[in-house]
Amino acid sequence: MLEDQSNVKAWLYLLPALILLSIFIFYPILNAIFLVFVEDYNYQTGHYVGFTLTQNFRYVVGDFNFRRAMLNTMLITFVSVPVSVIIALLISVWLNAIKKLQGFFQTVFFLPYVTNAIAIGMAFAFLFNRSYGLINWFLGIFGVSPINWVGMGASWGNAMFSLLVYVTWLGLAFKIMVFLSGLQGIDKQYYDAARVDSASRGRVFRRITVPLLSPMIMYITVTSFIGAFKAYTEVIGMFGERLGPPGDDRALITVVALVYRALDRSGVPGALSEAAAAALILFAVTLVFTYINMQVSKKRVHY
Amino acid sequence: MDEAVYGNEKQIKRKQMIRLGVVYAFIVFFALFIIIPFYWMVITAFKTETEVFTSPPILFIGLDPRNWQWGNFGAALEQAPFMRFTLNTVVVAIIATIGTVLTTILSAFAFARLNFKGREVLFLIFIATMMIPGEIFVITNFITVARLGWVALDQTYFQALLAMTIPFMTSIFYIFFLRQAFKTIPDELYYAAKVDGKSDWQYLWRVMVPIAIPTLTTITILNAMNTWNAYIWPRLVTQQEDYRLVSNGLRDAFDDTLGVIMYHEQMSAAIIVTVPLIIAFILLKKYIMRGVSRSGIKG
Amino acid sequence: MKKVFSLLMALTTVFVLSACLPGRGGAEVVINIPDEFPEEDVEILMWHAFGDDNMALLDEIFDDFKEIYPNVSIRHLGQGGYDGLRQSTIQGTVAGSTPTMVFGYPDHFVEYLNGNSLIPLDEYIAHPEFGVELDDYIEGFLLENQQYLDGLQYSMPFAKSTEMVVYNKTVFDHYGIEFSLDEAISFDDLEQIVADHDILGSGEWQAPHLFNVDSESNFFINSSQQWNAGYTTAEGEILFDNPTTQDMLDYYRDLMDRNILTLPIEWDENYGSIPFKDGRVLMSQGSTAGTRHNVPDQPTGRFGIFEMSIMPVVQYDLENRSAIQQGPNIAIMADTTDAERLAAWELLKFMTNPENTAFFAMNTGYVPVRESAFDDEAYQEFLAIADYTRQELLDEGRFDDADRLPFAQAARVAQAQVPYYTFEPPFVGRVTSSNVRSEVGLMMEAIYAETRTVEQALQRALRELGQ
Repeated sequence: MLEDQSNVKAWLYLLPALILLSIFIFYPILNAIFLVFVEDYNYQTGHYVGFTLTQNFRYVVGDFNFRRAMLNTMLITFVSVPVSVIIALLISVWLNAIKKLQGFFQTVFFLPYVTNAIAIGMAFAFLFNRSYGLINWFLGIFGVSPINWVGMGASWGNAMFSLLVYVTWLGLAFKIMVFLSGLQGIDKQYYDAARVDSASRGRVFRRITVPLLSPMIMYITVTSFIGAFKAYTEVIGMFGERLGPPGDDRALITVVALVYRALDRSGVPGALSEAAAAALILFAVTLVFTYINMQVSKKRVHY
Repeated sequence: MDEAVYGNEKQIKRKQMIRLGVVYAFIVFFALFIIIPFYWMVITAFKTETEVFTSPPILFIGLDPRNWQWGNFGAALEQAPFMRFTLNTVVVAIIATIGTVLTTILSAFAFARLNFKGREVLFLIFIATMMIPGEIFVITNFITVARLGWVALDQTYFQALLAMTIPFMTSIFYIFFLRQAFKTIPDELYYAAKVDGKSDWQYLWRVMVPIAIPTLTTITILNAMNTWNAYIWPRLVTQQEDYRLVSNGLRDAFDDTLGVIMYHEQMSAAIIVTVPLIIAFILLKKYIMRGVSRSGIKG
Repeated sequence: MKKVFSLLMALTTVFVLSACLPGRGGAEVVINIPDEFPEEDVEILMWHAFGDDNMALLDEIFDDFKEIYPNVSIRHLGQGGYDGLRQSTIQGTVAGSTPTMVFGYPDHFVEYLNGNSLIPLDEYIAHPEFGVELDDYIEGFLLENQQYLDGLQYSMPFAKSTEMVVYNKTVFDHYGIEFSLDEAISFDDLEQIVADHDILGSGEWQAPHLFNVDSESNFFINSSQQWNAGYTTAEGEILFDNPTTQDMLDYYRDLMDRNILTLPIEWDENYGSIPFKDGRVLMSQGSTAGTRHNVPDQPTGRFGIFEMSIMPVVQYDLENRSAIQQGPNIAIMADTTDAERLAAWELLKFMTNPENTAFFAMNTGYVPVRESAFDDEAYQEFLAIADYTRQELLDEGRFDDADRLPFAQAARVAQAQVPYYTFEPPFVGRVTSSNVRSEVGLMMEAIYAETRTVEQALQRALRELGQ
């Protein structure tokens, strides 16, 4: 009886969100699932030829670019997320620790959020420019000859490295904001106790800060991984529609790029189904990794 | 004896100074790295058209403010009704954010504090929906919104507002975030409240929400930012130029016949549009940094 | 809880079922032209992708139209760029909210035709009272709008641009080389210039590169025409998998080796205008719509602020000339009343009448779509400016004309190329004509960057296009 009551109560609390989500999230997903299994669906008329189990998936997986898209997406996800999280964590903890100019720096680290995306793209294109870019200038001080990062004929490795730096940078502002808000939730008592015990900074960080911040770390890690799997606009931001350095088009293609390429032809029958298929394949992969991610996190997260 | 203590203190102080120095150096290094594009945006806004398209790009436009192209700002404002767009964006941001915050608080509470059958499964389903790229949703949601009658050719401003806000009145992204924050609030507080005879509702609003102000402030800022940057959806669901949002103005107003973008004017507009956000952030950020002492519970 | 769950299931089932209902598009189009022009109030809604400058010019034209038909009101809405316009129109078709008229390119229109959302204009064209003489429209422009598979005409040309070559007159004058506004030169001529003069290099009267091409796609498509190598057909067949194309690409690769031919990626740019103004390349082939960006204004460039002039697109074979045509067309949509359609048709005719098309062209860099526009007095005066050099105009105190000189030159070049405009047929399928266009552009880039050999680049492009 009591259980039923608390069940109903919980669902009531969830109701507003559930209604909105049903209409604007679940329903489109169901639609996408429907689309995957129809053949030659004409979006403008709603007409379709028949049903098919695997045709749309085969279109996507059979694409020559599919393997590379998967590889690039994985690389972006598994490199940029951990690096970005660690840097953001360090910045947040240290930002939290300094007294002077804390507010000033907090605003500085927020600025990427309000910086025009085109300006960001231009700035990074400049940073990585082979002739007059800041990075090559910096390396030049150490006697390193100019590297072709993103210019004509740049190698996949160089271009990918540049992209990873860019993606990591893009992710910092949000993570810092979340970590900062999370750090406020840590009871000062713990730090006071640690100071009495004269514990070293490293220990305080590892034994107190990280565990107490672990709910936020988990949140950031899970959502960042999910977001990184969907990488696409970042590649466009740095390389334009070409998705790679000039001469090596699609070098950095991602799975979501495949979705967009199909969506671009939405007036053509069957295109939407391909887009849905690509999205669902990505979904399956992301789901598996996220599940693993969350299982692993469960053991490490303290509330 | 005293001398030995003094000596030690000096050593400790020096260590602390060095440590502090390292911390500051690290932060300054990253701050510089972070700020480069913002700097770029600002100097581009002050360049002439020729300077914008010079190669290699001009990094310093001189320290004399008289050489800076203040005229770009005026020209930018003329290109599109930015005041109107900003007003629209503020309205949409406020409505969407209030809605989001409310639904988020209620849902996060259910996931964090209430035990109910299917909780973990539902939560996983929620998370799973984040794994699908946004464009897939746009297609269906546009039809939904059209079926609701909000995007007819004779659309009113009110209908446009509905189309731009209702689909965004909740976000699993933030529900997850707030759930984490709620879960860090100790059970003891809850039990104590129950003992005091408080209902769940009261506990939520009187205890949990105040403690979670930093998180809620962050959510508010993030949600406002999303509205500021929204481009595709507002363009799609509005049938009048006057209903559109700031990002539409920024991206659409500055290319010429060939499609070459007038960066200096576009960046000026971007700055004009960004300044209120920065001000809002500066005003709100102390709420993010505000910690609530929990020592009150013991005793 | 069970109840809530089952409620949710019911809701979603309803939604899923309704997903199976057809969209609004697809109804058959019936043409019914009224005998008289409607007297009631009619509103025309127009979706476009123009910037504010061009729209302002159109507003002037609309005001004139309103004086003739006071009961017709015209409203327009920009949709971002052409991609945004296409997306909005397709979404609009599904949702049942489309405008009266829409701008676009034939490859967009064929997509709309999949939704039966355009009306064929043939009956309007042939109508005894409201019709129009197609003879006066420039033939190439019309043909582009008559390529639809069912043989009907669904669109009319509005404004066209073409390509031209801007060149550094100061430097070429130094070598005594002259070019003409009306006569194209050939690649042989370019090779001859390099052979006869020490023009390439980094010396005082030299440049590292001779000739840049802005649009790789246009270059390939136009060259295929010039070489008769075959490009695509209206049915979507891809024809360039042949030895002639191979020869063509090998020839251009050789020119690239000799720094005669360059692409903007050489300088990590999208257009050659910046390197041109900087003096790093002596000639640049690009759209007439981009005239403004090629006017020298970089005092720190290698040649300072030099004098520039314009000439037609470089040919391969002067006996078989070809220049690409681009630019928006207009179509009338199907979800409209008969009155709206007739009003839209009249507006379309008005916008493209000789006077207005000349007016629009003069002020934008687009080309008029009517032959008799070239006879329009104001346009004639405008074109005549190109008979002078900048210095001559300045000496005569014609400062405004001196500023308009490059645009007049571009217009003259465009006129000279009228006899041999070319376009690519639009088609849709798993591969669309715009897919092919992008792919050949990327292929040219790879050939230039030497990341792939000609053979590899060609094979890769064909593979991407499902061949």
